[in-house]
Amino acid sequence: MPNSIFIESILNSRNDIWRLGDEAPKNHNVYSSGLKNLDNFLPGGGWPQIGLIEIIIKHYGLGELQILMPLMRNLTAQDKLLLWICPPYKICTSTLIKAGIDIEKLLIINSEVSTKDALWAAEQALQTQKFGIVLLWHNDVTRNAMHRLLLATKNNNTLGVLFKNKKTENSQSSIVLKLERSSSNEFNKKIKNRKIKLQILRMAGSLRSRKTATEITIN
Amino acid sequence: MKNLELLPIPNRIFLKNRKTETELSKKSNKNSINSSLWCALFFPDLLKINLSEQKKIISELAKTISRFSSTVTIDSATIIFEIKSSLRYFGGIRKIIVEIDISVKEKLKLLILKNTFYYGISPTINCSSIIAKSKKNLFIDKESKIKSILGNILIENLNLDGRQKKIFLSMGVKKIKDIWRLPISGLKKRVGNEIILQLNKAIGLEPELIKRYSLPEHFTSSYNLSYPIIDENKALLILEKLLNKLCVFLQKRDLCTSRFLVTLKNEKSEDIRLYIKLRQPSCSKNHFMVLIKAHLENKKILSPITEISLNANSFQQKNNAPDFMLPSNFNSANQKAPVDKLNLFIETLTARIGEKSLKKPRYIDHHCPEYSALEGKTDEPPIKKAPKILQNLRPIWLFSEPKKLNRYNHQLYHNQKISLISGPERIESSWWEQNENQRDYYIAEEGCGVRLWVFQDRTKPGEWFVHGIFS
Repeated sequence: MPNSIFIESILNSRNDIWRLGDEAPKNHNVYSSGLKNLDNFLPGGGWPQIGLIEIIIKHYGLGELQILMPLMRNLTAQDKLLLWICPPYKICTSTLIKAGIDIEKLLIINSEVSTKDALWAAEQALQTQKFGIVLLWHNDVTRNAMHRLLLATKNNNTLGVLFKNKKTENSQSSIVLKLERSSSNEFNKKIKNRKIKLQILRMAGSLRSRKTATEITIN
Repeated sequence: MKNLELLPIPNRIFLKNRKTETELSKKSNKNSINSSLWCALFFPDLLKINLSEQKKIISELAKTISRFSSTVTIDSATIIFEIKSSLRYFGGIRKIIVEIDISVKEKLKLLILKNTFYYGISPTINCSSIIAKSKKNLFIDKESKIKSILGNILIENLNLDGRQKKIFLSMGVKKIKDIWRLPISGLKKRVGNEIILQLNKAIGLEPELIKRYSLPEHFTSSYNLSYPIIDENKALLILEKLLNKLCVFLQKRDLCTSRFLVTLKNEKSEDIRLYIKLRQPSCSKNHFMVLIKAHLENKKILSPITEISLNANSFQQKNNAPDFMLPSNFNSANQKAPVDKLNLFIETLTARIGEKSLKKPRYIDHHCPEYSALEGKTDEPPIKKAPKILQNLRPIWLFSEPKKLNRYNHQLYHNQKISLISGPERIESSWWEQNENQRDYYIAEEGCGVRLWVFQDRTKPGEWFVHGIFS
């Protein structure tokens, strides 16, 4: 066996070796996002099953929850719980039911709680391993707090999503996504099949993702 | 009627018939068969309230009565208790009845109830109960006298159902003595055996079985501090000691608890009260300690504490008893059942942020979104029936109150300029609802790409509002 093939087989057999140019880490288990375009765009072919996803969005209402709806529907169908911490507004329950989410499996911590309590709740929830996904809306999360959340997800094999309005410098989150309005305005006039622009600002263990952007269609 | 001692309670009986009282103490053992004396208290007003409330009140009254007797039983709105064994302690029947009268009246006053109740005292439980229900306030000291007194009481005071009442009325039976005149075999066939059994028990021919009322368990323990403390950690050390006592109390009785109260008494300001609530009953000290710590996180001790107390009065039977008598590994059998991580998380969370901050979304079938989207408690039972959902497009976020949109040069503005994409969809509230809504809803888009749910109020022409955000 030539040496190069031998080395290749060794490298491929190990999951803890990352090579420059890999799309995503080898041990990167993913959930399908439920949207074909998004699956193709996300490294590894979907949302990571473990880690902290940071979604940067200037204004709520661009479709940030739409891209997570299929995942949440699948998680509740698998009898997993969802926790929403500090959602910015009151939830219209009928929309969730229509999207196929079992509202019996959703818990909400209202936005009146302090930052300290919200972060504590997020960390504790991730540590219980009982929640399929923990969603947190908060703009004032420090880098250290984010790192604690990331560790909680990694140590307990869970997934957390943080919605913020601006990027944190040197964030260590698994994925940092920026969500913007699509530049094709005409298309946006349609009620359904709305287009949004997604940009990966950071993807842990992958170099491809730097500043990669795509436009995806959501319902 | 010569031998009968009909004694209305308390004034007429005991003031006019002092002899009776003394005679009773001397002769009661000789004359009565079972040498017991049962007092029944009937509260007619309790029959008018709902069953759960009735049970709660009668249980409270029974607690008061348990001061006078160790044998107390409850029969719907009647409390029956044995008083013969307490006569010597309270100084005779007159004194005990006066004491009971005062205590019950005080309790009724506390419970904000009418002061109406009736006595019946006799050597049998059923007889006392029937007398009390007849509202005659009679006292029968000898079993031989029961039949003649009971005979004059109307049959309505017996436990009869509608059919039995009808049969008796059709036969012209009005008083209990009329029943005794009828042939037993025929009576059994027509009205059943229960009524005969009840009467036989009342006159002492049949033994009476009672279900004893037992006082609810209560745990209270406090720690008076020799010097005031302000340090939370020191308070936790004392609380640990109190929790140890609680756990021993629970262990001895094979119980667990789902709520208790911790009070930190202050010298200057108001007492700090920590209401500890558990989703599932527990007897684990560590579990309790975690919740107390979570409570104390948000309640800072500002002034020195002089006393710490712990009260628990709600207990449940443990259901994790081992199936085998002698476990092979004693230590493993003694281990506590693991606390469910999710329950512990929710308990700690509610302890820290308060019950109001943790919610579960609820949905009711209503065409107005603000009425259909509700929030409920986390321990509310799940909805079994799948709700009907409107197929129309609705936003995921709703404003708690619609926000008025600015209008400038026939252009609507929210944070930025907005343009309507689709609509209208007319939504009106029903005429019987308090808030009259007549709205034409549109889907609109802001300059930054945010999709909004806006409406034009038909009752206020020209006024536009934003109600929700499509996310």
